[in-house]
Amino acid sequence: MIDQFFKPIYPCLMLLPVLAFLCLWCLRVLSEREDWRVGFLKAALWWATATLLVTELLSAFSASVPQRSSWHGFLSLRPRGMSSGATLLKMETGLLLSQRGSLRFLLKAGGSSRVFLRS
Amino acid sequence: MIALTTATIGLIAPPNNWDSMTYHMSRVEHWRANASVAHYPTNVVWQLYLNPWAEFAILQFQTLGFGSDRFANSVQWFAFVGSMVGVSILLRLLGGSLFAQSLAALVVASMPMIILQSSSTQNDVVCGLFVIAAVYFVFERRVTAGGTREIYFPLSVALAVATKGTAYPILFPFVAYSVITVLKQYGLRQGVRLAGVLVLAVFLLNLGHWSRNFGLWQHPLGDPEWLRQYQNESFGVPETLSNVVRNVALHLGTPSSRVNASIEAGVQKIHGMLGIRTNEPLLTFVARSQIVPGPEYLTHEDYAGNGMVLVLSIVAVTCALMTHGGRRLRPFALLLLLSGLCFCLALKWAPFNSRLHTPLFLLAAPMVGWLLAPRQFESLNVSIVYWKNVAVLVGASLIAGGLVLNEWVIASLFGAGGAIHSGSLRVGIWVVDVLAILSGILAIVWSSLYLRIVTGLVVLVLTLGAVPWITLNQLRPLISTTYAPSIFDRTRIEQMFANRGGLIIPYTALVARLVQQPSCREIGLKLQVGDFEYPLWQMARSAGVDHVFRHVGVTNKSAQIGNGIPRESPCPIVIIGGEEQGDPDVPGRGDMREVWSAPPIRLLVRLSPEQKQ
Repeated sequence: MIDQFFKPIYPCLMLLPVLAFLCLWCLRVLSEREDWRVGFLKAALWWATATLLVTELLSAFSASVPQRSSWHGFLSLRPRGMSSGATLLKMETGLLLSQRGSLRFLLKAGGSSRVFLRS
Repeated sequence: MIALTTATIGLIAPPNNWDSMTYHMSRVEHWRANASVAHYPTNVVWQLYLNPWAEFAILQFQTLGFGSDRFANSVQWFAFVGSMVGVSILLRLLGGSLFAQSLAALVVASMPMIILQSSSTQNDVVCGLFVIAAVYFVFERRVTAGGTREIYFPLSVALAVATKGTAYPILFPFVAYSVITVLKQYGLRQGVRLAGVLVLAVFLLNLGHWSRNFGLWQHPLGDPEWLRQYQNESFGVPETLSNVVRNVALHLGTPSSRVNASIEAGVQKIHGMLGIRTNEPLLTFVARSQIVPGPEYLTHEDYAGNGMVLVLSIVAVTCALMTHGGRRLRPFALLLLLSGLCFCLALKWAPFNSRLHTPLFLLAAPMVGWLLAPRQFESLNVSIVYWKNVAVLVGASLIAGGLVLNEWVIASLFGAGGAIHSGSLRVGIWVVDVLAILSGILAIVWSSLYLRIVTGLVVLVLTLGAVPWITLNQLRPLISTTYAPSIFDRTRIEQMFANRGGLIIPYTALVARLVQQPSCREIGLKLQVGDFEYPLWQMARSAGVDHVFRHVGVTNKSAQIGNGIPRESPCPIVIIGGEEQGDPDVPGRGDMREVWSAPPIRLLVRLSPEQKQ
């Protein structure tokens, strides 16, 4: 049931890297008061560096791919009547935690989570 | 408009070029299955040692999409947009006007190879973006030195290297120039500091990949056997000239076979004078009988050329070097030439080298923008009267062109059987002819408006010239062609086989069989370099099963990595192309028998104890 409920939202997760880039770009342009084009280029470089480092770091712990079951466990913690926006926010938080490959994420995700570690 | 159209194509069509099907996307699937980017046993070593950044980015999208490859093409598209931004600010730094910067961005947007690649999962445009960024920060340093900015140049170089090996020769002159200018301007301490930061950034960002390669092949860049195949093995002036001529010829293909034959004859003649064969193995990675690509390759993302931009680039570089175009433009033009030369010195020729030239063409775009922008003409201190005369000459040429290049002449030159059968093409030719004649008349009558007319024509030609590559991409056409139906008329799975349409039936039949064994998550896979692997993963996923395809029968060095399928696994093994390659057996799995086959695929299952008896 949870799967059915959240299935339409899954594709939105693919937008997170795009949002991350847009945030970096806005930060550069607004806080550093840079030209928008120079800010774009610099934001792209930081984003690319972060992508590389995050991938390598998670891979070192064999944690670059969160299991779907972990998501379900995490999502099942949502209180009744939670708005879709808040749900999405919570999913994003979960993603950030999972991106760190943190055990905290799995603990939060509850009993239905399955640790996906290849030893 | 061009960017929006290619974005749409990239979102609708799946990754479907040959490289993506064999290794770009396959390695992403293996990384997902392993939850790690560590090396794994594979029959296709390209999946392991080739530079991984673009695939890392795809991995992020694919992981967040639970296996969906909907955004896989967007990485190159993002780099396409970033390159437009990058070349425009690079030209600003080199002294170009705002209009020239816009034209430079338009040149990027209208380049055939870049249009075709911007909706694919290759990595040449991504590499190009980082190369553009590196060059931008080389020249920015000359304007504003020091501070935190120092990190951007090393980061760009490190990311370019992490994306594609072609970055080494292309960036070498710019890196050397940067270090030398810093040494000259700011002294030894700053020079050593820059070199130190550069080496550190490149080393740190590539440490993971290099160490994995080193662990397997004792070489940071990968399998030495394959590396030798890419690198030139013979050096000298004739050898370099041969490579320059053949690489240039890749961009001179036209729709006319007769014109192509003339160019080919010229290439052969030059090689006769140089005393080198055009397919000399020491200078050639993949041989092809014809150096100049034929009409069938014009809209293929692996072989398309950028002929018009090449010609304009040569003119622009010559102008910049001869007319003292600007304080920074001249060294840039010289470095661009050296960069191209380094490419030809380092890498063997291959028919798909036009794809590898993408970063060089991106670097040439600011030069073309500078060349085409009228304000830049004015800044050359040439008499305005002279340019008015040029306007009259251009006007007369346009009228003559419009009159001479009519439907009948074009049909006799290019048409099959001396006729043009497409009604829309005939109308198009007439419209272009009328426009050319009208523009010519305008240019002569209102010669004071010559700059605007010339500019308008340049923009018109660049934009209209991009249309065939936007709409008729051989692998992802917007409009149905003789090569393939439109992307709107086929499913994503069907489009994956755009390069090898004959495989769709055996692959579909195979997946239908595998789906019947959902308990077997890990399927063995034995294939040859060049066989399509990625469609298997996506087709199984589309069918609702999450199969993992593990390579078996691996004979290269990656067989040492011990995380393959256990030999006693009851799950089936898929063999692709074994019979054709004369390598049908899977070592150590003698108790398996073939239960199904549809060339070039065979399915093997383990014999039960009863069957063995």
